[in-house]
This record gives sequence, C-alpha cells and structure tokens, in this order.
Amino acid sequence: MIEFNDVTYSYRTGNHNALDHISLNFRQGEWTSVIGHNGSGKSTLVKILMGVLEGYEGEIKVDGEVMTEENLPDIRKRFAIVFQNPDNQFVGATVEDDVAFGLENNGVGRDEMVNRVEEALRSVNMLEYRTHEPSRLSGGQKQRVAIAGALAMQPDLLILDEATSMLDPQGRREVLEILREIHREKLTTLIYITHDLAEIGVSDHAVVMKDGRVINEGTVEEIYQDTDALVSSRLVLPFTISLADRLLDGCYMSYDELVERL
Amino acid sequence: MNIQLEKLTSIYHENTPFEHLALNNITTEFKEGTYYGIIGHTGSGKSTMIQNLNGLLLPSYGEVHIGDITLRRKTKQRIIHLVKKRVGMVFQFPEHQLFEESVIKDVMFGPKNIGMDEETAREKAEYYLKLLNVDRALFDIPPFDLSGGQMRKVAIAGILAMEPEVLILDEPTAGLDPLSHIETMQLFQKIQKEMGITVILVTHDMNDVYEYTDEVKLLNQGNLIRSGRTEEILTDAGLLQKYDLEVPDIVRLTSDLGKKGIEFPKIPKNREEFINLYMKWRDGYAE
Repeated sequence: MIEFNDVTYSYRTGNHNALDHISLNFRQGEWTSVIGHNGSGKSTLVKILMGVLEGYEGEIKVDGEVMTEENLPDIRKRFAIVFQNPDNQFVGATVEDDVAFGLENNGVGRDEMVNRVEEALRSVNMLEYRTHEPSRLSGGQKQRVAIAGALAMQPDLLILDEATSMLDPQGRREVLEILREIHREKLTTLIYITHDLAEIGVSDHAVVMKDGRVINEGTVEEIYQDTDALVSSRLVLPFTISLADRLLDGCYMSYDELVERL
Repeated sequence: MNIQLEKLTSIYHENTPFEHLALNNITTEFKEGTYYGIIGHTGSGKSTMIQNLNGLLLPSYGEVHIGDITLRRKTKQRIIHLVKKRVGMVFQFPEHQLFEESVIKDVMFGPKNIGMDEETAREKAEYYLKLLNVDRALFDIPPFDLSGGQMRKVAIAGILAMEPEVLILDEPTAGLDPLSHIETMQLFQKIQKEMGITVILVTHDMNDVYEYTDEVKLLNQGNLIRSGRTEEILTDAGLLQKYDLEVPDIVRLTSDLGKKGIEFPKIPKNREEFINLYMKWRDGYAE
C-alpha cells in the first residue's frame, strides 16, 4: 500500500541523515511494527508520511501513486494517527464529542456521524463511557478513545506512534488487545511505532531501525534470529526471549514453550 | 533519619458530599537507608501516602514524624519548608516541571531555594548532572532543547542536588523506553547504595519492586494490608492476585518450573541470578 523508495532526510540542525536511504513496503491489511531506539529515525518516518516534514530525497508511493505536494492533502485524509501522550489529544467535553470531532471537521452528516461514533466506541469497548469526561479516564481508556477517534474517520491506514509508551502495564495490555481485535476483524492496515520489543509479537511484519537505517526486516520470528543485532540497536529483549536466548537453542518462543523446554 | 506514620488518616473534601477517605488510620515506619516499594492498585492511597511524607498534604488526623519534625493537621508552612529539604520527590513526568533558561540553572534552582549559596548550588548541580551522564556541553542550553530522556535526567539531577535524606520516586520510569528504564532504575539503586539514603518507590511495575527494593508496603483502598520484606510479599502470588497486582516475571517462572520439579534453593532476584541457578541445576550441582 505504501512504498518508500530510497528515502533520505536530514534535519537542518543535524549533521547526519535522520533517514538514510530507506526502502520499505507497508502492505495492505498487514500490521507492520517499526522498532527502534530514540533517534533511530522511526518518528521521522511517520512525520514524512504524514506530510509534516518536507524536502526529503527519494520517493514515496501510495497505492502506486507517487506522493507529491499536490496530492498530499488527499492522501493524508486516508491516514489516521494516534500519538504517545493520552492527555494531549482531547478536545471534546465528553468521550463521544471527542470521537465526533474529526467527523464534524470533515463535514460528515449528523446521522452518519452518530452511527460512526457509536461503532468506533463499540470497537474499542468504550461505548458505556460515551458521556464521560475524557480527563477522568485511565491512561489505557484515554488511548482507546483516541483510537476510536481515529477509526471513526474510516482511514485506510492507522498509525500508532508509541501509543502505549506512557501507559502502565494494564493500559498497555488493554490497548494492544483492542488493536489486535480491530486488526483481526477489519483487516485494518496498521503501522505500529514502538521502542519496546515486547509489543511486536502480534505483527505480521517487523522493521528494525538504527541510526536512520533499516537494519533488519521480516516476520517477528526472523527478527529474533539475530538477537545481537537487536541488543546492539539499544533494544531490550523481552523476558521470555532473553532467557530462551541464553539458556536454549533458538529464542523465539512463547512463555509456555519456555517453561516446557527448560 | 527515620519516618514514622502514626494513625495517619487522610480525608479529601472533609465534611462535603465529596468526602473521600484516602488513607485509613495507618501506623508504619520507613527506616533510614532502606529501599521501599509502595504498591497497590489505582486508588489504593499510594499517592496520598507519599504526599504526606514531604508536607504536600498534611494529615487529617494522626501524625507524620520526619526525623525530629512532626507534621500534624495544622503544622505551619515554616516547618513544612524544613521537611522539603530532607525529603526530595521526583514526580511522574518530572521533565514537565523544567522552566529555567538553561540546564544548569534549572538544576541549581532547588538547592538555592532551600538556602544553598550560588557557588555551592553550582557545585552540586555540576556533580549530579555528571553523575547522570549529562554532557557538560549541554549545561548552558535551554532544557527544552533536550530529548525527553535527557530532560528527565536534568529534572532528577535537580532533586538530587538538594541532597535529600529521603528520595521519593513516583512512577519514575513512566514513558521511558526499555533501555532508559533499566538505566534509570540502576542509577537510583547506585545512588541509594552510595549515598545511603532512604528511597521510596511508587510504581505499577512489580518487576522493578521485586528486583530493587528491600521492603514493601501494600495498600488497598486506603488501608495498609501488608508491610514487610520484599522477598516475602512479592513472592506471595495469592496475595498479589487478590489485590489485582502482577506477579513478577521471575517469581512466576520460578514457580512454574517448581511445578515441573525444577527446584532452586531460593527464588532468584533477577534474570542473571535465575540463569546462574538454572545452569547449576542443569549441571546437577543443585544439591
């Protein structure tokens, strides 16, 4: 669905490339995780895709069409994004107002708006909170509302930019669980940006970035075949993986398999 | 310096329809030089408890003894100010509280505020920034130009530079990437050991509580349920589950291996210890 062809970008203040000749494919209906430590270029990638940063080299194609200044506004409408901080993305006085905000902005009619808000809130399991005040929700609930706001726009692509990193373990689980369901049921195309390897287990495809380059890419199982590369990219191996890596041959396994094989 | 809570009760919005009993008649102690974890589900009273330890909240009933200072319902601001010198608090997302025009000035603000002269404050600021691996080249730039992780280090240096006897950490790793998380926790451990201060950690992360703390206080709905050694409380899966808390990964794995007949002489404290014990078991040296 989205193709990066040899994309390079450097910030004016930086003396190195934030993105260094990146070529990548984000396929329709797939969950692609982009993993990297701070400064690896993963956020720059998103900003370029969202049209926030201009002046990159190389080309980006969306459904075969090269992204240009002219078509960017239309392409941009097909993407929705959820950011890191649950407190910085609320505008509505109630949960449902908040989810409706983007629709109102895009001139969606009242009846359809009501339907879409309801469906979006149902898909993140927050319908019973529709009249609540967003500021009084837990972190995980806030991010679920933010996801509902994004889904209500019926985007072709949903981008999550470190959307769980400010949540406690329970909130993290809630959000990942909801995303998994949405992805399974609607086959939504997802780009999931994270610095936490423990969160990539559900993705169809994973991309590891370091210093603006893609250093590894493949299925989650393939990614874990080179644990040294992950560690040298300043990533931390999840509990199960790290023990399996040290104590058993091969390291990609579930917790139950680990217990079984030890 | 020890801290004692004596029949501490904390009520929000007392005598209004919104009255809420946040802490209920708590008597307990924090001993000098010990690393504590305060655990409990959301709404258990963790935040209220730590706010009572540095004078941000005063007791509704009962007393809080910070060394020889006593805080009661009507304690004067002048006395509370003395407590702030002794008890430093790193809030959640401390980087949101940076405000000075340069990194060094931001770190010097706290020490000056508690009465250190300019020169001493600068010395302390430089020392603790260095301890936290903040490069000297960054000292004179605005803190807002730093990355999130670096901003957090600057904010923490500002608290350490006051050289408190007790350091309270409220979810200090929230929002950090996994590697910074580990680095930050190891740093607090080092500071606790080297400076011999009391550290009180409030967190949802039971792995950290298990690995780093000596003692634990478990709260639920404003009541102190248990207070004791970390190895006892955090290895009690039934107790943790009853209060909706996670069992630490290492504890869970050790227990699941125990069910298979793989028994260790003790429950390991961290991954390295687990690996050592497992290898010994595997090599047949377990007996």
